[in-house]
Amino acid sequence: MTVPTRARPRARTVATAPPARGRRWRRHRPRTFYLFASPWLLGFVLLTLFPLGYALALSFTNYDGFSPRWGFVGLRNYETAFTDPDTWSSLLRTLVFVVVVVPATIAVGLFLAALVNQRVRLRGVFRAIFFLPVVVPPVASAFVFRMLFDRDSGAATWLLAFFDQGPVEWLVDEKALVVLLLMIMWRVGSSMVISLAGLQGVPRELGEAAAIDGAGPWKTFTRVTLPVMSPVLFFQLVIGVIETFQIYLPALLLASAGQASLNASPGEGLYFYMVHVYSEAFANGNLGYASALLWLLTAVTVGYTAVMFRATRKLVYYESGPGGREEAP
Amino acid sequence: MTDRTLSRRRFLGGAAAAAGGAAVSPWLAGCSVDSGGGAKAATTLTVMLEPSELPADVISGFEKENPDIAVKLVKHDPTRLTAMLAAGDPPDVARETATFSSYLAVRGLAAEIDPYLQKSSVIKESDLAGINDLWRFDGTAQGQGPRYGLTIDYSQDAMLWANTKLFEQAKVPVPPDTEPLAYENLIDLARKLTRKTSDKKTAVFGYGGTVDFDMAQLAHMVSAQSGRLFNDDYTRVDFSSPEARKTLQFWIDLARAGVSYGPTRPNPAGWDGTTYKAGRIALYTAGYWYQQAMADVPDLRKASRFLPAPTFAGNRISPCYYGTGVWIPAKAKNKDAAWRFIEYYVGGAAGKRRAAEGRGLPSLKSLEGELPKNTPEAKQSYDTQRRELEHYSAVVVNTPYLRSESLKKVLQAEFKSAVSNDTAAGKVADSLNDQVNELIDQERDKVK
Amino acid sequence: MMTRMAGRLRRAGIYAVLVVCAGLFLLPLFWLLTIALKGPGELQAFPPHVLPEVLRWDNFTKALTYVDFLGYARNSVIIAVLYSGLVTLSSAMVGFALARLPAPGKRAVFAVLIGSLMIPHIITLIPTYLLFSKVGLLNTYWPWVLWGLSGSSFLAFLFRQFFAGLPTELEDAAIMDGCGYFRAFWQIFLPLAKPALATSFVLSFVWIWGDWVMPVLLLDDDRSTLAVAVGSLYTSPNSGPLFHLIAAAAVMYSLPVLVLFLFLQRLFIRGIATTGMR
Repeated sequence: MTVPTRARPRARTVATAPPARGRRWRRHRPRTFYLFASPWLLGFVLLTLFPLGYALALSFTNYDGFSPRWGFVGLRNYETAFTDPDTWSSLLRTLVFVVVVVPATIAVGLFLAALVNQRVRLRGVFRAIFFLPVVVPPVASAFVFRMLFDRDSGAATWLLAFFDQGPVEWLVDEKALVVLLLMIMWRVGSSMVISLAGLQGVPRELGEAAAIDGAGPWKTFTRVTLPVMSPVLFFQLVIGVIETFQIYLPALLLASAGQASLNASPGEGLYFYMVHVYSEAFANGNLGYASALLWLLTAVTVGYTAVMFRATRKLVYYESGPGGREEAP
Repeated sequence: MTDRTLSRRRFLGGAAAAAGGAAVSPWLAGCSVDSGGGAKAATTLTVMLEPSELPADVISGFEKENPDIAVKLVKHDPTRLTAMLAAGDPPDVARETATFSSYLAVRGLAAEIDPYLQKSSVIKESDLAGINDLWRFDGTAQGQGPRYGLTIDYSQDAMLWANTKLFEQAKVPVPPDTEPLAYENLIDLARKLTRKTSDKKTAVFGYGGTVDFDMAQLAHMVSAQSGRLFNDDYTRVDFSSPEARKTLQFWIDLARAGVSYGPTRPNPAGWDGTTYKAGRIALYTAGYWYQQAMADVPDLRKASRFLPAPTFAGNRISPCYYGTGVWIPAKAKNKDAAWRFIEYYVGGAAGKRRAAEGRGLPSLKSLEGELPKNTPEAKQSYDTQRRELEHYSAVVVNTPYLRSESLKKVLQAEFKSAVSNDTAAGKVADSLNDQVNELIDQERDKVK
Repeated sequence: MMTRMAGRLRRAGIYAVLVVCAGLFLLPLFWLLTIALKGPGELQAFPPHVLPEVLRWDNFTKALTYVDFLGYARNSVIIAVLYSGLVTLSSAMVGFALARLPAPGKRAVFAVLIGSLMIPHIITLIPTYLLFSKVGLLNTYWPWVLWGLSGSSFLAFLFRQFFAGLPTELEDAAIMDGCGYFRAFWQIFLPLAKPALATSFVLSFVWIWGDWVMPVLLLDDDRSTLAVAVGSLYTSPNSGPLFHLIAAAAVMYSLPVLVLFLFLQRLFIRGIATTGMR
């Protein structure tokens, strides 16, 4: 969005003499637009809206998939959601995790981007190394992190032993959050490349001008680079919060490496909101209640997004506007 | 390729042509990894089991005897099963443990198998081991009424395996295999066997097995004191009786003793069976089936002695905690073929083979003679098991209204907090009563 | 002189930080490799072995045969290629429409598209399963075809950004040449969009290659993908999860996408930088 696309098309300059036939097509443009957009629109209705509606309907029932006499229970699931202590504790845990993970990812991503944006030898190699973990499949990375933090045989234990620290039960309780945090930080490469694209968009003259004015590197960074980068960082913040709030699969895979299944339980330390939802749906079979929890999450997410985007509409939507075509006829 | 894939391919081919993608249609039907032999089968039987329980040669053996049936294995997964039941397209054969089977019957999910059993020439009702009675349900209670499934094989799961080498290292005499230990003495014994290194690592755990509020263990130990966890119609649970409180206290004490893996220190290997095999657990709770599970570590197998289930409050009973078995969903499309598969799997060549390997006690009494006794250690296990069978006792471990998963979730959370906070058993009991009874009420709404 | 020294020191500092970070980022992959080369009992041994006693290269051949690794790999490739090809094409169409074709209601469509990026898609898991089961598409690869055909909001956004950056003269040229919008799209815009197409293809390929939830829910074991095989099939009833084989399988499972990345770095980085998709 705020990131400039780096395409350099070979512009074909053509005498601009709009012929009559062109006008005829323009009349068909609305239809053409919807024709082009139809696969996505159709898919959106069938594969997203319909399931969403289905889940909404389920959220007013006590459906579990196998009991014979399930039925309509009105708003009971939503009432339960507000009184269920598991909902609140998992929500709190998720919020704390979001508050730690998202800024940490953005900061480390920006730091690495600044590092590999320097004119150093093997810059490409370092960039590749930092980005590499992003393409490692989640099943594999969860397995690795579980083994790294194994109490007896993990590399973390081995490192701690150097400092004469006893073995730590990493995957139990809140300590598992540390492992998960590191596992997510390992994939910071995606944040790095977004920030890197942003950094490369900072005009060099701005930095040079600041240097001539006598600003040190830190001042240049905070006064020049950060303001120019703010839309990029803001974008990461919005997406990062939404993504991290829905965290589920990394927790599940981390807890059940080698024996992953949809109804595995990641245990208390990793009991996030989405884990609560899935535990209700699959371990307890409360599909109706789980649907209600999901709808609450959806409502909150959509609300949050709307607020954030409204606040920065100009930054996010218009900046790299489509060559003026939007407003033109 | 079988007819099944051909017809599916044809169907999908039509659909694909309509979508303008006929060229890719053969791919879309999915590529079967084990495409198997070339036999033509009229029926495709969907069997939902753990892949390790149904090796390829058992499938091919069955298909050879029944050329009109092709078996398709779906990995057992409760989520998947729920989704299949909800979609009205269940597998033909599914898996459940005998002790937790009554939730199927009370919801009308499982087909009665008595009509098949009466006509069967392979499985006779009189030949069924006692564990199979837990598959019966009369609308209120487990243990009587029509049968809804059969156990594949079972064990008396409170029995113990002792690693005699670790006993010698700790200079503790190995308990005799003729006299049971007492749960009351277990924690002290495990303490003597536990060996820690100077850097706070545990080299040997004195005790192994589920250290948890395992519903089957709780029910077993309450029964040993002639108490009970449920009321007559299984609509109320009571953990507050003196018998139940004493049981809860035992597990809290064991977990706090630091002689085993447990809720505050989960086994990184996933289960204690692996750690016992690595020679790091001295006393391990597992039934007869484990003798086959450790067969791939011969030294350990030789050093292991099989012991009776411990007594509690001076009483000796030795129930089965699980008794994994098979059932036929009421909406299954190929019930006759499903029964033929169960006959082969429980009583036929496959059942005989499992008994000979000693993968647990056979579901049919007539197969008990097949159990291995060709080596001294196999003989020791066999003899101990023969004596133990006299103390077999059926214990009902769950109400029909709850599924094992939802019950387990409540029990584990409560256990963990009790161990971490050293909560008194009475308080734990009250909290469990509230939570479990509320669950039962919710579920009964959907059943009755 | 002083500034030169300071410059050198600063440079050395940057290299030091870079090397340490690179070491930390590579450690997990190195650790995976060591586990893949250990013997079956070594992880449970006491005291534990940090490095393998003997390098067990045969773990890789064992991992290939313990489950039908190549069969699952083939399934993964089929699903990933099918999906990536289709989703690239359909997303390019939507992106093109959003960038170049004015129409009433377009702003609303774009808002919905951006909004759909925010919906927790995992909410649709159960209803989606019921839907596919009712129409008989379970255990087939049709769901991936349908998802592919219906495009991805992320990639549509990528293409919109790309097409929006092309000069407006292109349309006029197309009109001059006398072709309709579909031909203009096909013959002028798509060929120009080769870099975006490649980006979209590799991004979606890597995503589907790594996806675990949908295959585990929609496909039977024998038709499933490598993600499922590595995630849950390397267990034995006697020993639980076989960590050394899982590690070896995980290495072989990750290798194709790692190699793909090393060859096509630019495409990945451009795609992620534009869409923020991870």
